[in-house]
Amino acid sequence: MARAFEELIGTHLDDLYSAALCFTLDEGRAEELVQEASIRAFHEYPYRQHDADFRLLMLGALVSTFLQRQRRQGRDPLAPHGGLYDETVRSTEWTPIEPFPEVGSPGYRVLLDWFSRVWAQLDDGDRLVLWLADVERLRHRRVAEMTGLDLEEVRARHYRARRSLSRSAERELGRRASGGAKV
Amino acid sequence: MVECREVRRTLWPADGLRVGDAEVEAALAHAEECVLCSEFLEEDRRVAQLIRESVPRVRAPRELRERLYTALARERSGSPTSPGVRRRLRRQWAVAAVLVTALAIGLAGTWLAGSNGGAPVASAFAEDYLRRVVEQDELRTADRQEIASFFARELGVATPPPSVPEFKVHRATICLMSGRRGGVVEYESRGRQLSYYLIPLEGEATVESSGVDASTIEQASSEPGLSRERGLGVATWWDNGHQHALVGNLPAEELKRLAPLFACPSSRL
Ligand SMILES: [Zn+2]
Repeated sequence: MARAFEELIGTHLDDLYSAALCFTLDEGRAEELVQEASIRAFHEYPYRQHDADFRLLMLGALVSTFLQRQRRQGRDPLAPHGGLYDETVRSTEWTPIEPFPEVGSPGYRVLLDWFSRVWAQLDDGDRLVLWLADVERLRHRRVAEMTGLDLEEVRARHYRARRSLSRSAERELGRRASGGAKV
Repeated sequence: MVECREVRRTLWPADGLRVGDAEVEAALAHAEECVLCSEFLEEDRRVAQLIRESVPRVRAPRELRERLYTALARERSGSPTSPGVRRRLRRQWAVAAVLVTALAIGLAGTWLAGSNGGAPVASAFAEDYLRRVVEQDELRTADRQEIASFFARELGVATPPPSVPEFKVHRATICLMSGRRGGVVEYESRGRQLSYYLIPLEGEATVESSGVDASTIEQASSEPGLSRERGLGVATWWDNGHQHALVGNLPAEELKRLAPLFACPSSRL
């Protein structure tokens, strides 16, 4: 038997809200976004689908609703920004985090905490792509379909977002190691 | 250094899926020898893991849940948002709906009546095994935990594939079996190929479930059913909402001997 839309959305709601919060960085707007996207999906998707496909559909609705809302207000998170993948790699220096802290070690917890705080400082479009590619683990091709971006631009934004988080973490670890703060 | 840049371009993101062509093989071979490239890829993998672990996971507020369910109930009862909004939404989603319908019809057409609630029959597994050479998306790895995360996100089943004596895991892919998405883990050992299929059969009332503990495959309802399709050994069985299959160029007796290693995924977590 097909599971009701209400039941399916219930199981994904926390993740959808987390995604919406990451996109909008605002609780009120995140709630509005989830509600609007859910109503759209409810009306236009009456077919029984596998759970994984339902999640994709809801993410797609969330992303397109978010982009529409932003663009209506003259803010396009995906407006051309930076270069394509090769240019981005050339312009982004890679400084290894050395030594990379062991999972579970105090250094690793510092990195986790640091990452969770600097997420919000990423470019809006890069953060959206990072969420889809790294948290939802969608393939670049699928992220491109969902966002309307060119495949190479998806790669570039994803690369830039990962690198800027790791660079900032590397600096933070260096700062702490040199006595700037206790680990 | 130009070569290193090309290699990283080919293999980045380090935890992503890629087409297993000659370029990828050459890049992987380079990365095994090159300290800089292997460090770069290793760090990329670790950063990706950190990103996933660090994201703020927030519970949806109760008010949102209540408002959403109230709105859905209103939509269901036919007193929705303004007609203008509805029309606009319809247009935007019409293309998606057409695609979804076409897909559903296509899947229905290829549905094979199986012995257990329309689940794939042995010939479907053999068919998929034989056309796997054209598979595009894959995860080439011997890391069973990496495969578990791959299946967790693709199928919602966190299933580390078991280690099989003498066999090495070498890749994982997603298959489409009679309209159901499943996972395939490929093993090999000196010219012997073995593929393990796991098809979640969620929400299917007609599928016999034989319990959740590891002993379920000892029971009659989940005893591996063995057959030979196109010269391949195929063993299939059901347990705990999943259909399993082992397909390979191995004697059926050997597949039967191996089947217990692949018992209900929940017992292996
Ligand atoms: Zn290299």
